[in-house]
Amino acid sequence: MEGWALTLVQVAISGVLLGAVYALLAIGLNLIFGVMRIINIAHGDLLMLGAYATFWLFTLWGVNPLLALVAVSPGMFLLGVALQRVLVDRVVGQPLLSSLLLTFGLSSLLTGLALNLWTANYRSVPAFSGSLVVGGVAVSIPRLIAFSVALAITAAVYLFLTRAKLGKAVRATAQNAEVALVCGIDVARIRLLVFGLGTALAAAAGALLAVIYTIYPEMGRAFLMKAFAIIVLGGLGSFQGAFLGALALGVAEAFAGYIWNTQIAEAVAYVVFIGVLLVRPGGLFGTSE
Amino acid sequence: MAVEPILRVSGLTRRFGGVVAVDQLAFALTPNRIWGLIGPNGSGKTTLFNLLSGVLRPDSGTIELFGRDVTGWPSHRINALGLGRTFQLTRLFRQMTVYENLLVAARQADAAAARARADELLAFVGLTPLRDEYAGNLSYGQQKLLELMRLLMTEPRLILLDEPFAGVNPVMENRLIGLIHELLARGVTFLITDHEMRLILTLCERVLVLDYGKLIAEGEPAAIQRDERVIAAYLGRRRTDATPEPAP
Amino acid sequence: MAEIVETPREAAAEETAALAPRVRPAFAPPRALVLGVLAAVALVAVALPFVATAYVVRLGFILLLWVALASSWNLLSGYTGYVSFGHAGFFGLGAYTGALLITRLGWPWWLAGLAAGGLGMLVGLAVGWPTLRLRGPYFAVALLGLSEVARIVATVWEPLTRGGLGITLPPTADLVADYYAMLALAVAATALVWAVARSRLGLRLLAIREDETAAEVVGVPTTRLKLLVFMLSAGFPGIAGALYAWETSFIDPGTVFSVTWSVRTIASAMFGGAGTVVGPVVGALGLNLLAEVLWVRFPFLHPVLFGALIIVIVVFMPGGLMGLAQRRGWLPRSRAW
Repeated sequence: MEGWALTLVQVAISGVLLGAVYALLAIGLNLIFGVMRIINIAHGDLLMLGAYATFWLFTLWGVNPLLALVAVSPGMFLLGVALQRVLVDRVVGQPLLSSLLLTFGLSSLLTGLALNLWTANYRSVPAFSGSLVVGGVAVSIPRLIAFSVALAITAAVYLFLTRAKLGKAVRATAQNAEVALVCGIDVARIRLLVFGLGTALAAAAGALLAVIYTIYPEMGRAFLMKAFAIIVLGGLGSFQGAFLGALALGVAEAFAGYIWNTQIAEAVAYVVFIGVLLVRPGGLFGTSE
Repeated sequence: MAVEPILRVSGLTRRFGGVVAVDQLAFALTPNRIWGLIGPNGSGKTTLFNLLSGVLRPDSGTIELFGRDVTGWPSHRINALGLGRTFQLTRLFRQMTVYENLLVAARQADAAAARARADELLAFVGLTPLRDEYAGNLSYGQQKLLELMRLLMTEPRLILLDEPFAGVNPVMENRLIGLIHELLARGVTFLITDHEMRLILTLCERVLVLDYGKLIAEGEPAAIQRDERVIAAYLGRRRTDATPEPAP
Repeated sequence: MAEIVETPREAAAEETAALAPRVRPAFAPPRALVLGVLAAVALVAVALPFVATAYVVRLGFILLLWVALASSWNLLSGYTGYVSFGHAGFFGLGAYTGALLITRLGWPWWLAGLAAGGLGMLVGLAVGWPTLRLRGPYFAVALLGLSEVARIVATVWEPLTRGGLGITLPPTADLVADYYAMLALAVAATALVWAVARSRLGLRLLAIREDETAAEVVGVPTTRLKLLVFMLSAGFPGIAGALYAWETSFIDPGTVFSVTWSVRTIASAMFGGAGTVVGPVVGALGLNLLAEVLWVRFPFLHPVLFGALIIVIVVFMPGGLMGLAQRRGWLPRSRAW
């Protein structure tokens, strides 16, 4: 292959690898919205918590991030269930204002705690490094690992939602909570499950991002915007849409970063956001309602 | 009939995904009558109402109201022209008072005139004592009445009623029927759909029958009852919508 | 009509009897008391610069800034239910417009402020056109995103804005003049809400909040009205931003486009009671006075405490102070409040 073609492939692959991690975040946000009609502003901050948990396990005891993920995700699942039970459940079915403000409060609280406990310093988890060269294309090993794990988790969640009885109940509740209730589905339990699952997915994404990127207390906001952009691209409530949208955003960011710089790459999510908004404002987020 | 129709629909079509909810519909309503609209569940009655009132836009076809082409018009302009509708499940402004629900719909820009009209309508249906109560606190029957009164504030000449009798007790039902006749005497035209076939057939002068989004029959109630296609449509689905809905 | 009047009235009367206890006769404060309180508040507000220290006047300036933001946000979001996270964007836009007009073109501060308000309204029109067609959650997300985009544009457009370096304004601002300008802005925003709330427009906006489709069907031109109030609502943060830039003498994208402007505005309005006239004013004063105290005592814990405060407000007083007072019958359930 020509040199420029190799570079093109390399950039695209790098974007796809990162995109799979974004997918974890967007899928969780989508599930929570689907079942509860709540936009979780604190979603990015849950990612931040997952990233810090991984960082501390690695820094203090040298725990391998992949092993850490196995401990962090269930732990964050429980945190999510607790948040749902104590706080979020109170605003389900309330006017939009309540849930937006509540999750914003939560976001501020979590960011503030992280700042106070762990300072504003940038941190990283240098567990993996180097790259794999296949046919002249270099692939970053940390990204490859993050991608593989993210893909496995995404597949597991997909199978759960489509095959498992409980997963089907989740989808039924997202379709129509009232009908689900009539059909004997314990909707309150489904909500606990979904917020827990969403939190665990965000935390898993955080753990994997910690391996690739530097982490800091306010990282959540940027990733929340990425998740929004992905959902705008893929359609609100759509699993496949979120996954493909995430890969697309990853690739777009990779190219923007390659052509210009990382600052511009960070802005891609916003540009996508505005673009979709201007092109098809009515059709934004699919055709729910 | 030499009378000009007040509503003329032709080629009206609306799809949802692969489903054609309303299919090449064509009919015309003559004024000052009570028209009935019946059909099995999912035959497109509510979709048709949504199209006529501008809540939904048709994929193709035209709607002519009082001699003007209103296809694609927003609901508020269609309402301003004189078409009013109610919803199958009442849609009141629940966190607003009964009085405010009426005033917000007033055709008159003059506040005093609007208040006078609202007071008159409230007295008419006996809701005056609940004037300052939040609409969300009313009983279901009262909500149905209020929704209709709110509609009357806009002074419509053509009124579409979507299942006005569902979940309404017999006393309230008689009240509604009385009200409909009263308005009819003042020149208003009605298009009414309901699951209670008995009511529709006694109340309406002419009936339209929908099945799978198509108009399969139109005529006098007596003729409709004997119409082969109508009977087939209802029996063919093994669902007799003629049986009254259980009260909620 | 005579014939059918009889039956409905009787039947409804029966149902009314069952409902009666829920209709609570509200205490209506005598007019003299209301006017007296208003006059006292006005006197304090006007006399403050003559009797208070510079610190207090400056605090008053900031509190009035929040009143202007909360009242103008309330006009759109409190009444139509469309939750706007755009106030940070309009505030930042106003701050930069004001700063650039003053530093580059040498405009007087008050003229720059008015221009910033005008631009805010224009941009409001342009932004509202596509976004107000979106349903609630999507509108909220869209404006949150647009606000962030505005911040990025201000950061990246270095030739105009000097990017992250920010803009320094001549430090010749007169605190007392700024205070009165902000007082005028806060009063104007609140007076506008009061006028709208008592009018048919106010009822129509509430109808949009309650059920937009039903509002359309009874003749409310929802799109036009939403656009109108969005535009009116966007002008105030524009002016407020310019006054803030002038008074503070320094702005940068991270500060003036911070989402905090939106969130605190929303929290203020909700604390007092969104969709009421008095609520957002009381909420803005109360919440931000509290925030000021917290800020001084625990500067590092500020976001934590503020987050917790917001959560407490949402969970325990969703109707705000006004909702509480009106439910308890302390205040009349009148739209004029």
